[in-house]
Amino acid sequence: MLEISTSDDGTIRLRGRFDASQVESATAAFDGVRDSCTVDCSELSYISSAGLGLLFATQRRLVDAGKGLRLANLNPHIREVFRIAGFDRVFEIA
Amino acid sequence: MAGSATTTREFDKSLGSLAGVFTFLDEVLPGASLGDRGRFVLHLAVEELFTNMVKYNAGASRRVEVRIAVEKDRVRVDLVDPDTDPFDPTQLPPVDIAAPISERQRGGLGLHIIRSMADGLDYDYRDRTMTVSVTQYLE
Repeated sequence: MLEISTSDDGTIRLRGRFDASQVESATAAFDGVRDSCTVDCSELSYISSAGLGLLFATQRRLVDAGKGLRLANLNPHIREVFRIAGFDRVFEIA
Repeated sequence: MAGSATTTREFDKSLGSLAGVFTFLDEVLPGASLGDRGRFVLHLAVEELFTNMVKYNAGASRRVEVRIAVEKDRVRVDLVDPDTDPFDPTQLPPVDIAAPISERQRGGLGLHIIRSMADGLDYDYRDRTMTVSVTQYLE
């Protein structure tokens, strides 16, 4: 299960597991992102290529508009996934 | 194999089965000394292989068999589709992770990741039965 919430300062918080079964519901949330913002992953325990694909599509759309996502607080396993995927070159990772 | 225990369960070939597949892993894997990373890798590998079967395996079967073998020094998970065309995930070309964001292709990323993270990835195809196996060594 994946929970997505947005705080008053625009930070998107992901909580739970971002697997292929969550992409459909998560797409609506990320399609609404229009400005640069931080995605807080401190409570994200898992992500697969399905979740990566949605984050990537969002990033590509934002970068085309001169904006982008900043990912924060990735756990070590998720950070390793991002590095192997080459996404440390695609996203700003704090 | 002596000293090993294999547990098998069948799932509908649909993304709706993913939660059940993860539950199955969580039921069996606590008996193995995998560590957090090993469990993460097996969850990731099984999801990527299972979803590939859901999306791309052509054939009459609507079920996927998942077999988890906890052996002396490793865990091996087999995903078996009993009626499908061949598709060897171990032979895909590498993903260009250095490409600029505007040129990156999305396909193949999951298999690229599990080939990097898992200790073993094997493929077998005979009599229209595809078996894809991921291996992770115990700590």
